[in-house]
Amino acid sequence: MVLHSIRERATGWFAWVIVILISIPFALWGINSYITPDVNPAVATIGDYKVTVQEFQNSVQNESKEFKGQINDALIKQVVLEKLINNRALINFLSNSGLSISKQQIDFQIRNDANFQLDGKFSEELYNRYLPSAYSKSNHRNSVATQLLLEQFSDGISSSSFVSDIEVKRVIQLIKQKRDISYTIIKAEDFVDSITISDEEIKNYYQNFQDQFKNPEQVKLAYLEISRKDLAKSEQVTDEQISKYYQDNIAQYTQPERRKASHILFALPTDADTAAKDKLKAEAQAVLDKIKNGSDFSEMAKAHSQDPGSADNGGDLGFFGQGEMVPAFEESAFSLKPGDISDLVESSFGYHIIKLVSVEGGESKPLDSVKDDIIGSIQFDKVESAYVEKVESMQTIAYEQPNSLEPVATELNLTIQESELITSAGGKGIFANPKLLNAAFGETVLEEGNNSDLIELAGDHVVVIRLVERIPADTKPLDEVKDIIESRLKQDSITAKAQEKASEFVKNLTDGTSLDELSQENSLIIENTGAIDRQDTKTPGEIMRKVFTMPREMKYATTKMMNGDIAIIAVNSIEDGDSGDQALFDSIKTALLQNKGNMETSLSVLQIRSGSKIVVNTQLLSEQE
Amino acid sequence: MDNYETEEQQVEAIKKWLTENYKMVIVLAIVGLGSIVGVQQWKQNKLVTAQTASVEYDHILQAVKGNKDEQISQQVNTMLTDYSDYPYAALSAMLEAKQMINAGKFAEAEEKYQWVIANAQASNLKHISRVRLASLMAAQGKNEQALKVLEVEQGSFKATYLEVKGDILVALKRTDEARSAYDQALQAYAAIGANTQVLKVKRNDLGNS
Repeated sequence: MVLHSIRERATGWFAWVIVILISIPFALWGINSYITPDVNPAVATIGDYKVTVQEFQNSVQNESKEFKGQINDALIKQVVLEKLINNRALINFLSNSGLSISKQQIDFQIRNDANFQLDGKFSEELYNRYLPSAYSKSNHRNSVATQLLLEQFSDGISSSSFVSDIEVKRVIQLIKQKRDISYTIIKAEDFVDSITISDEEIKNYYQNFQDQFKNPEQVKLAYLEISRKDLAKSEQVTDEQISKYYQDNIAQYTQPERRKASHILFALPTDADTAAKDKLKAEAQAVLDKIKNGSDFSEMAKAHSQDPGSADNGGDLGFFGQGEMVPAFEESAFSLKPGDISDLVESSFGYHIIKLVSVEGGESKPLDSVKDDIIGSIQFDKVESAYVEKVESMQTIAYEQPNSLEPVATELNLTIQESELITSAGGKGIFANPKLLNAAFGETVLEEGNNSDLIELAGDHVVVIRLVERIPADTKPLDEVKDIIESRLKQDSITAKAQEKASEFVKNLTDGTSLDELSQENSLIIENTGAIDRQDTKTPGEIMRKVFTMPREMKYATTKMMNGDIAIIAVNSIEDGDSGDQALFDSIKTALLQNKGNMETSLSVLQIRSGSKIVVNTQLLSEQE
Repeated sequence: MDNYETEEQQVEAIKKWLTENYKMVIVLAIVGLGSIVGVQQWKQNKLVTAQTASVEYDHILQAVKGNKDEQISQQVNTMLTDYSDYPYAALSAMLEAKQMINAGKFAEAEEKYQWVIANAQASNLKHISRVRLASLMAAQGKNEQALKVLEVEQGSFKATYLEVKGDILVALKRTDEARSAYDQALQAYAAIGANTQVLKVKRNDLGNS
């Protein structure tokens, strides 16, 4: 209907409106995005930008290197995703709001990049070597532009941040504050005679906290296993087979050869003509002649080599293996003897004079030392089809006759074995395997009492399990845990007694009794710390944490020590930090400024992000193993 | 939609429509192409303007970042009049304010922040400028006035608004309110995982009640 009426009016004003409306998206967004189909699914979409699987995985890899094993993979992925989203939301916002980097600014940045500089000056040659193609140059320019864009924004915020002098003063007063305190410890042990724990209390505790006294569910399993290694053990292997295997796989028993060489490079610009090339070759030949006539190689390298990485070290390139150098270089370096000097070698970099310094590796282990390994490997290979066959019939029979392991055992001539009692936390050997535990406590085995599916353990090793006995979770009997409960209750109540006493003392102190009087009457041992700051390490940590969180006007307080004792703290005097020290003032100010700038920048990112359209493809994300 | 008997009929119908309307089709095509070219031209102009502002801005940024004793007010004025739609203008104003504060010209610095609050498109720069304006007023003892500046919608900057509010209330000796502002600030910072060591020290100093 709609289309019909459109067609009817297609000759009138309506047609104009339609055509103009249609031309707007083409005008604004360009035609290419309509022509190129979208084949790459996005992990996340921020505005118009799609984070591809490739980009996401690259970032995850980089981040993983940085955190190497410190945090788990799931967390790394989360961190990476957050970073990518924040970064892209910011870039989108900046370019949409009209921030832009000109060609000149990019040029300036590249010319001042230390990576492309030789003797403090921009080197066209270095630049071309790092970024050989037009494509890589353009990519690099884009990333420089993005970097500059982000810097303009964050630098603008952090460089304009300010902290007033009164803020700095107040912070110094507080964080450099010193407190002169006295403290005494009321020992919980001293109250041990005054308390008794009744059976009633123990029973109550037992009933109220049953969760703490649970025995987990346990199972005993019957199982059949097939291991390719065990099958292989009985295979016969002849000496001929062994020596053939050794010859065929000699590379596996050989340390790869590595060579150490020095070189002198006469670098050839990519656009050099024949004349320039001949001239360079003559120059190189002259140096080679000098070396052949006895000039020192490393001196000549220092004087003539145009390889910035090695010239200063006398041309030393260190050790390298096959496949690490350009082909012409490698061919020559691997044909020389230690101490030899090559003729001129031409590579894509220019002309090289190569000196081989030393060779390491390259030797093969003798047959005798690897004989056992070889026998194992041959045996292992031999039983492949037998193993696969057995596994298949085990799988079929165990599945078709799920009520017993006997048929499998008879058919395959295996012995049914039994495990010890294990919990879902796992046991020894194969019973630590998470796949096996999942099956053992899963529905098929535990609830239905059937044979499990085939469980593949590591290294060509399979098992099928079934339940023999199940001991449900239960609560330990009271008698077994009575002592534990009693000692816990005892500890709690002597601490409570000590706290009671300490609070009473604090009340006396607040009412006007002096600390001296109090200590004499009750024979307490008083410790005086003198004026201490927040960094003090001599005073116990529990007391330190309390002292500097006590409000200014509070004189006395109690705090619980780790061992259950109670400390009474008396603050004798407070001395605020001195902001008169100019060096301290400046350093605190700098630190506060930096904090503030960082905070303003990160909050800006949050603010911008909250205004961006962000879609995360959680399904695709969870597939990225 | 009508069903045509055969493809020929369909082609006939299209031909007929075209002979009747070809003039309009041509005119529309010209208009369409014209607007594409026009928009591209407009974009190109905008880009050139943005990049001119970008270069100017870099100069101002380097002057303030390097603590150079350099007159930038002329350049900042140009920014504010010619490029006021771009974030470069707001950022330049904020940078000049910093230079002014260092020189003790607080009133002029306040004006720069007011300009950003009134003119910037980027909400984050407005928020930052408001919080800075309030701190600057408080540093001159204009506490009541500073509190008023903070009474706005706060977006993602809630935590910093509250911290500065707490600082001002401490200066006004309105301890109960300061405590509550700091507590809320601590909560807001915790929600975004920020480091609050110094704020905790300031809060503890006010006691528990």
